[in-house]
Formats: sequence, structure tokens, C-alpha cells
Amino acid sequence: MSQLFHYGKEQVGRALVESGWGWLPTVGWALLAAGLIGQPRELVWAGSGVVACAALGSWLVARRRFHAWGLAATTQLHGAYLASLARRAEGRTPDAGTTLQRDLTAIDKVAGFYNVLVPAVLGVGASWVLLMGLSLWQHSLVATLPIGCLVVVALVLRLLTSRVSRRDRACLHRFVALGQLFLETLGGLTTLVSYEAGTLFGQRFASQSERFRRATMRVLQTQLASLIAINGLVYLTLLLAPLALRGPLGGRAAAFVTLATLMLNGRQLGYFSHGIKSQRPALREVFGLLEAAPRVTADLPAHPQQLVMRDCAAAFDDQSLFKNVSLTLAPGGLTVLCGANGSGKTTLLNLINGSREPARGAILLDGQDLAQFSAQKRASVIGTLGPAPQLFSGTIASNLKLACPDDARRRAFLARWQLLAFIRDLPAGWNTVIGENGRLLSPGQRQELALAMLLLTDKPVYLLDEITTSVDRRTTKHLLDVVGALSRSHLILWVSHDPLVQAHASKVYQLAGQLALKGGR
Amino acid sequence: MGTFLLELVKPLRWRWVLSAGCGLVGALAKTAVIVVAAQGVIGGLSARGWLISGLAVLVAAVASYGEQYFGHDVAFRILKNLRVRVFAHLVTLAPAGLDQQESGRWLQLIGGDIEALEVFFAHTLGPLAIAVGYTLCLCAGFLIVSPVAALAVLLVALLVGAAIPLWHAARVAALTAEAAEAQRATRQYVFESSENRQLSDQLGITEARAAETQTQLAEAGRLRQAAERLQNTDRLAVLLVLTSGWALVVWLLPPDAGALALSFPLLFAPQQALARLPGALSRGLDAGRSIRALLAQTPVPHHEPLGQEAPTTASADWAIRLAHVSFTYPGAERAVLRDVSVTLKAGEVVGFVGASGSGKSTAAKLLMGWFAPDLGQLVVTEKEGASASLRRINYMPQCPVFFHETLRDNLTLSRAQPDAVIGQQLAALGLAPWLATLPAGLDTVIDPHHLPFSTGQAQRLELARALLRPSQLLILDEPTSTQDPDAMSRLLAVVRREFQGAVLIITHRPETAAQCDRLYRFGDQQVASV
Repeated sequence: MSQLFHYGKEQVGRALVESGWGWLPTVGWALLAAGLIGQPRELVWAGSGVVACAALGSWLVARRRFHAWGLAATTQLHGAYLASLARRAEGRTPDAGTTLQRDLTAIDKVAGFYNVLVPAVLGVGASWVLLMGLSLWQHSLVATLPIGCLVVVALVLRLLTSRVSRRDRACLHRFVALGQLFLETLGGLTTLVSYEAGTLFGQRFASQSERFRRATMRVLQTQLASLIAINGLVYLTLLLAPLALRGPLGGRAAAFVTLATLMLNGRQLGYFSHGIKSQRPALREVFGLLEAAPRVTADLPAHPQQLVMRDCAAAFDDQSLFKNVSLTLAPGGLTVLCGANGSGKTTLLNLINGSREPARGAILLDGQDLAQFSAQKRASVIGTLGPAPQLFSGTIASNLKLACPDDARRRAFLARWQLLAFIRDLPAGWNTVIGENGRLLSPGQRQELALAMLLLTDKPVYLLDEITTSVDRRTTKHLLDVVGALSRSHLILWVSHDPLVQAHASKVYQLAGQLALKGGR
Repeated sequence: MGTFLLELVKPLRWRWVLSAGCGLVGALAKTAVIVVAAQGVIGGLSARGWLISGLAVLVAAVASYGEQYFGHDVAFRILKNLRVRVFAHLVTLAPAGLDQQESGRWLQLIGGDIEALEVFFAHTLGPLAIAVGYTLCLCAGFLIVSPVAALAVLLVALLVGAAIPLWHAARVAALTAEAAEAQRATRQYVFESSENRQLSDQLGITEARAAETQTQLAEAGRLRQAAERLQNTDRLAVLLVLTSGWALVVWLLPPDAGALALSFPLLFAPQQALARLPGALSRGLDAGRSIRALLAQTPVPHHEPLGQEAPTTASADWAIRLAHVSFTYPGAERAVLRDVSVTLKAGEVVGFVGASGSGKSTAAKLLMGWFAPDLGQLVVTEKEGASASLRRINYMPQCPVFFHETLRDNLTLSRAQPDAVIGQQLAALGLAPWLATLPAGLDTVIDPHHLPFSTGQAQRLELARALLRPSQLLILDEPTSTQDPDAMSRLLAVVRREFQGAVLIITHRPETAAQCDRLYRFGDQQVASV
């Protein structure tokens, strides 16, 4: 948890000032108690003055900046977390459910550490110093009371700790699992409903929710066990105060009010630290993600002329998919790869784009070994597209704009290759809203849009995997002409069963355990 | 809004009453301890006083356990029920209603939003009742000593517990709602960033999206901060009210009531709890609103639930027909289909062909009842024109869908089927050798993020799933697109052999179309029989 202090450092001064003003009324109340209960009456004015000043000061400070430390720290934590996700290769990042349910939630909640917990600890500490002063002046032992209480509470909490953290972890695990189940079921809900399995999976979700509820209640029970202890001890300490207090009535009254506010605020601290502590397992994961250093990489050739696979092999669960695969891609014609289902065509593409590591062999781009480059780095020169493309929600235009922000170049490119002809038939045209992952488009339209986006990024290498499965014949022919023309200047490998695609290729390879040249023009 | 949330408490009201009761007893016991201790400080505490207050400490500790336990028990039960209700409602909205799906947002609804309701149920309703009861008891206590002081206490209690919380409530609520909406939008954005990671890498926008997310999160943080600042002002107001009330009450109290005078500022904890509420409460109310809005969405009329008596297989005379149907998607201007008729009969393999977006899939969705036609009707006949309302249709989508379950459950979708039947079906589809390579066989747990098979195999598994469930119509959406040519003809042969009902194939492939008995060609809102 000490890592938490590494964030928002520049706002610590502000936080201290804020806490100081927030604590000052305690002094006012001590003076007031002395004045109101004992003598002299002037202390009433002094106390009221201090409280009024403190309120005014707090208000003025908060008017300019409030909870600045928490805001700065969580913003920096969010930034570091998101940046570390972005740096990591796809597949090594937590899934969407975990990111949303576990990590971002934990960082949001940690704001309380900066805004409430630390100021409260400081306030309680300052109150104790005040109490210490009073007890020295009165020659009483009242300042030892909170210390004694703290020791006992600490002992009790220590006894509960191992159980608490185990239950916290279990609860977090259930929460994340619930989110994952939800997202996954949502993704397949159409299938479930048409197979009348919606209710069944609903029951499954219900039982997961119930498990999460039970896990929460178990966490609560341990928290409440410590609550009993804290509550009992705090009020017992207050009750012991009359025995420890000495000296004139005014001084005793001041010490009592100080002790009471200290103990009651301290009790709140106990509750609150539970809230922060319950986020500990999640925060540990977050910090773990932050600490793992990114791979340092050199730059890839910007305009490669040759991609060579040398003697590559791949295996799935110890079952060899293919071996001794050697292949050279160069501009000047389309290369098509075919093979039976499950022969490893997609895997071969994944070896090139870095989604998977080859079991043997090397892949060279203009002589540079790709193994040293992360998948993300490779994506800057190698564009990959599969049969089920990804799209961002928004409109057709907003998606195309992501691929190529330059309006003139984008329009010229689309016009030159006459891509996305279907847009003419859409009432809203370019501004057609496409929904999450393009679900409002037809599958064929999705594939056309995704291909247009890919080609707009103008990468030197394209890996295309069954990208026209839902596209009608006329459009397929047109796309073949476009990709064929681009293959004169780009390195393109296209996986397809379609005889039409194979007929356009300059080389057709077949993958069946090994790679064999099957034909071509 | 309140009524919707209160309705949820109703079945658990006795637990809630228990929680509030414990809370009130606890609050009174705590006050007793403070006042007795104050009496001890001033001097003159009897042995009986010590005994009573020692007992009060015990009661305070146990009662606050009870308050929290039962309060949270009620809250978490309600949260669970709400989660299940939201989920069940989403099922009724599917599939047509899912067009507006925003997964990240909905996850926030199930997770964060429903969580925020805990504050309403565990920390609002109870404390409100406790504060009211407590204020009455406190005033009664002061009334014994001094009626005027009791009036002053009531005034302070009302200021602290009611006037100050209401002072900024509207503004806090607006800010909190805005922050919550920002948070939902951000969750959706993060969800898409995570799901579309490959695409964002390709487009080189991964870092930019991360930075944008950080900005959005910081914005939500700023909104929350603004709400907290208002709450801070409330806190300062409470401080001033308590301080001046203290001075006033001490002046009004008789000199022998020193204990009450000394402990006065410590006696308003329940009202102070209310003063802290507006932020958390308005977050809860906002969450309640967004949940109710989702629950109020009515499903597009479709798929009437099937009774148990639904025939499992088609009789030889079963037929389904779209008769003179026109259809325009909700919100769209142009009709997809205009006065279109198609008929599918048991034992036939019919193909839908035509350009992308020509309405092939829409016609299939009308057949499945996902949408109701604007004009014309869907007719199902059993034999000799006798209409049959019940139909069971299996739809094999283009993009295979798998769940984080065992292979068996993925194929049967938890409908009991003997392993032998499943194995037989997989063998017929040429998947037996692949199944043999799985160490756990049908018990292999499928991870949807890392499918242990290729796209072509996935599609064949989808087909196995469809063939394992008896139905009258089998709709195959581009079934052969990712199949190698050999596998393709074999699959169609299996379908013809294993399936007795009507088969509809949506395809672009001339080779696949050539294997159909009849074709409908879609284009320009019309359909031509070929």
C-alpha cells in the first residue's frame, strides 16, 4: 500500500493545509468546553473565534481547490494503469470484465485513502498531541487512554486479519467472475434466446449473484466482528476518562471533549480503513501490472520489401500443427494460402503478426528478426484482418476517420478504389450509426468497412484471413481487383478457400502439415 | 423513484425494522455512555451509574452490530434480486432489443450502479428512521431538565438533520448524476478499447484511447469533487450550528445539568449521519433511475414462449411462409422488404441469395419472429393448411458463439443429451479426430477468448449444436464461408441426412447455392423465385 504515496505528490502540501484547517475546530471546542463548563468565560469567546476562523479558513481553502491530492493521485494512477495496458501486448492484458470490475473500480475507491483516511489519521494524531499537552499540564494520565485502546484494537484486528484478507479476495474474485459471466452471456444472448436457453443461463447468473452476495456477507461479518470490538473499546475508553482526569473543572472538560472527538473520529477511521483494505487484493494486481517493465524495442523498417518465414513450426497443446514452413512475401503479386479446416492457416498469420510465438524457426522483415518486436509494434507495419472484424461504435464516417484522419486523403483513396459502394443505398449515408462493434450493419457491410479501414492505414504488409465470407460475389470481385492492384506495391498474404480468390493469385500455397506451392498465375 | 426503491424493501421489511430498531437502541446507548462519562468528569457518579453505563457500552456494541448486519443483509439481498431481474429483462429484450446494446454501460449497471444502491438501502432508509426516533428521545430527555433547552435541541436537530442536507441537495444530485453518467460512458469506452484492442493497435490509436480514457476519468473525478466540495460546506455549516447551539443550550440549562452541557456537541451523531447523506444518496437514486429505465424498456414483440407441448420435429407437411410482407427497421426510412412472399417446406433446402444488405438476413429474422412485419404476415401450417402457432427454429449465426463452459454444455446449451449422441453428431461432421485430441474430451472447458479450434471447426461445432436440438426449421447463415471445399459438400450432405425439417441457407457462394433445391434471389426490396 506504500505505493499509494508515490502518486499525487505535488498536491501533498495542499492536502496538509486542508487537513490542518479541518482539524482546527477541535481546539476551538476544547476552549469552548473549558469556558462553558468551567471558568473563565473569556475562553468561550476565544473558542467561538477559533471555530469561526476554522470554518472560514476551510471554506476559503476548499473554494480554490478541494481534495486535490485524491484527484491528482487517482488521475495519475488511472494514467499509469491505462498506459501500462496500452504498452502490453494484446492477450497479456486483463480482459474487459476484469479491467472494469476490478481495476478501475479499485482505483476509483482508493480516492478515499487520500481524501478521507490520511487526513483523518493526521487529525486524530494532532488531537492526541493536544490531549498530551493537556494531560502534561494537568499531571493526568488521560493521554495514555487512546494509546491503550489503540493497542487492544490493533491486537483484535490482527487476530482477524488473515480471515479478512482471505474473504476480501474471495469476494473480489466473485465480483469479477460475475462481471465476466455477464459480458460473455450478453455476447451470446441471441444464440441463447433462439435456443431457449436464456432462462437457464439466467439461473446460472442468479446463482453466481447469490454466491457473490454470500461472499459479501462473509466479508461484512468479519468487518462487523471488528466493529463490535472497536465500538466497545472506544466507548469503554470514554467511560474510563473520569478516572484518569485531574485538575480544575475547565481543564477536565476540555480534555474530555478532546478525548471524545478523538475517539469518535478514530472509530470512523476503523470503519473506513476496512473499505480501503477490501480493495487491497485488487490494488496489488494493479500495482503488479504497473511494475512489469515494457519490452524496449528498436524500430521496424518503414518500407519493407521482403518478409521471409524460415523453417517455422507451430503446435497446439503439444500437437504439431505444421513444421518446416518457409515462405517469402514480396511486392508484385497476391499470395493466397489455403488448406483444410484446422490446418493452421490462421495460426500461420498469427506467427507473423506476433499474436503467437513460433515453436521453431524465424520470421524476418527485410532481414530483421521479428521476434524482438511486440505484437503492438508489429501492428504499425503489419495489418491483420479476420472474418469477424472489430469496429468502434459511432458512425461509418467516425470509424473511417480513425483509420485516416486526413479528410482529403481519405476521400481520394475511397473514391479511387470505389470502396464502400453500399453507402449510397443507406439513408444516412456516411453518418449511418453502426452500433457496438457494427451490429447494426449487415455482416457483409461490416467486412467491407473493416477492409476499407485497414487499407486506409496504408501499411506495407497485409495479412487477410477469409475477409469476404459474407460479401456478395460482385463486391468480392471488386475487392479482389483492389487488393490485387495494391499487391504490386504491398506484401499481401490472403487466406481463402474461395476459388475466385485463388484464381486471382500469383501464388497459391496449400498448408497440410507442411507448406506446398499449389499453383498461381 | 422512491416508490420503486421502497417496493423492493417490502418483502424484507421485518429485517429492516430489526436493523432500524437496533440502530436506535445503539444510538441511545452510545449517548447514555457519553452523558454518564461527562457526569463522571464533572464529579459525582454513583456506583449504579457506573454499572448502567458499563452495560450501555455492551448494548451499544452489540446493537450497532445488529444494525449493520441486518441493514446490509436487506441491502445485499435487494441488490442480488435486482441483478437477477436486470439480467432476466435483458433476456426478454434479446435479440431485437439488443441492437442498442452497450455492454460496458450495462456492466456498470449490473456492477457499480447496483452497488451504489447499497447506500440507499443500508445507509439511508435506516439512518433516517433512527434519526427521527433518536431526535424525539433526545428532546424528551432535555424536556425533563428544561423545556426551553429541549426546544433549542429540536432546532439544532432539525438544522443539522434536515435543513443543511436539503440546502445543497439539488445541486449535489445534479453533479452526482452527471458524474455517474460520465462514468457509464467511460466504462463503455474502456470496454470497446479492451475488446477492439487488435483494431486499435492496427490503427495506432491505442495510446491515444488510453489518454482519452484518462481525461474522461479525470472529468468524472472533477464532477465528484465538486459535489464533495458542496458537502464540505454542509459539514462546516453543521459545525457552526453545533457550536452556537452548544453555547445557547448551556446558557439555557440549569447549573446542575453539567453533564448535558459538557456532552452537548457529541449528542448529534445520528443527525450528522443524515447531513453526510446527499452525495451517496443521490448517487443511489441516480442508479435507481437508470436501472428502472432499463427495466421499463419493452421488448420488441417476438418469439412467443414455447410450451412444453411444442412438437420436437417437423411433420412432413410442416411449412412456414412470409405472405406479402413489408418491413422497415425501426428508425430507418427505407423499407428493406416490400410485398415479399417466401415459403419453406419440411424436407426442402432453400437458398437465399443476393447482394449484401438486400434483406436476406432480415427475411430470416422475420421468419424467426425477431421482428414483426409492418404489413403482411407470418404463417405456419402443420398439414393441409391447418395453422400451427408453435415453431422451433435453430439459427446458426455467421460468427460462432461460445461460452465459458464445457464443450458438452456449449453444444447442448445445458439440455441433457447422452454423450453418445453428441459424439455421433461430431463424427458425422468430421470432428471425431479433433475430439480425440482433447485430453478431457467433452469435459474440456472452452475459453471464448482463446478458442482451441479454428474458425472453420467452430462453424462445424455450431452446426452440431443446431443439429442436436430438434427443430422444424434450420437456418444456416453463410454456413460454408470458412469451410474448405471438401468439408463444404460433406456438411450439406450431413444436414440433408440428419435433418428432417426445412433448411434455409443464406449464402453468397455459387457453389453452395447450386446445392439448394430452390433459390430466392433478393434485390431492390423484392424477392424473385429462381
